[in-house]
Amino acid sequence: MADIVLYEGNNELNVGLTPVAPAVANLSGTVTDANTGHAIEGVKVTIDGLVTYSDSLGQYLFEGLTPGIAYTITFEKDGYETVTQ
Amino acid sequence: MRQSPNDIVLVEGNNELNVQMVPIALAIEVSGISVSPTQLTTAKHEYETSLGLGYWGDPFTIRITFSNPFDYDVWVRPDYAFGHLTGEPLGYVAGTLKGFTAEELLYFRLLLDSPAIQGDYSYTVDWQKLYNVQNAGSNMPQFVYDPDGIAVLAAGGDCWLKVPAKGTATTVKNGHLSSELQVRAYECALCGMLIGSEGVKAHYAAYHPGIEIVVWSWGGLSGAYIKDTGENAMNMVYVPAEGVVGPYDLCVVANKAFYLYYEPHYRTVGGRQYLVNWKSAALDPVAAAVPNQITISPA
Repeated sequence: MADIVLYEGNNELNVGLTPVAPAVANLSGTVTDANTGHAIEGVKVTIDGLVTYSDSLGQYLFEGLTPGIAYTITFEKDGYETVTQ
Repeated sequence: MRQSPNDIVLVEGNNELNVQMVPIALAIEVSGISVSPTQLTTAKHEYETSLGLGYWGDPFTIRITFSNPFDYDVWVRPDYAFGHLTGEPLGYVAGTLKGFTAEELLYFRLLLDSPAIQGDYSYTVDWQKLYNVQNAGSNMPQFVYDPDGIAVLAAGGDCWLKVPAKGTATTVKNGHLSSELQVRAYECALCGMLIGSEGVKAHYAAYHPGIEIVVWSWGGLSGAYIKDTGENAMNMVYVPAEGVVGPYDLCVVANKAFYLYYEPHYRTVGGRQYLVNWKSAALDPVAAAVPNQITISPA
């Protein structure tokens, strides 16, 4: 039981708080060619003003996003139709 | 943040979103097409091919520019026509092009497959012959007629327009209006009225009563004269065929666009086996139509 009982007069209670990591979301995936299935390198991926590019394996990664809110993510590359989700 | 139906909502931790991207189809394109002059008439023209003599109708030139987005050379051989847009999308071309009905109103100096066309095309360096394996041209790798029908690479003779990789090719082709534009008719020598070949006597009976004419035919020729005086009763004239006069759209189609890629293989042609280093691959047809490019008027 963590309840405290106070006495007449002055009482002192010092407390040490342990920080809790804020909730974060990471987003990763692979971009492939719809016709060939091959990975596409250099796709510009944009989410909430953040930009990254897919690597030689077609993979991209965003870290530290906020969970629970709606994002629009866009995939762009010359020679391909832009994908927005 | 405003949410749209396509937005994604991430959960705490790791999220995965894999995406497939659809490539935008590349194709040879017609980036310019025009005809000059833009006014033609149904002027009389006859041409006796067996004699090499004759009188051509109004000449015109068609200028066309192809652009090639690919990393390799592409070969095309366009056909032209004056026609009318139908408003229906062309079945074999993705995009915004509209269909057309090509009308056989063009008459080029020589048929495309005629050996003599090589002389015409030789005026422009863009047009090049594709040779067979026995007679490889300096501009071409060795190949023979493709039995798979992927792209017709006839053994020698044919000329194709080379559109260089990532570049353009412009060519000009000369033509004449075809005889389809006109029909022969008879004109009364007295009043100028046009009459059918079977109606000469009826015309004189109706419009020039009392004048007796004689219609004759001999050796493929025919005519009519006034019996009493011997004077000519009718003249042969050319009149525009029905529905010919008016504006036309300029249409171009290249159905057999192709490119070559290196792949040595053996082919048996005419009982002989040849080592062929290159194969052909077909591309989507190329088509374009420009509305109201030319107007045909009575002569």
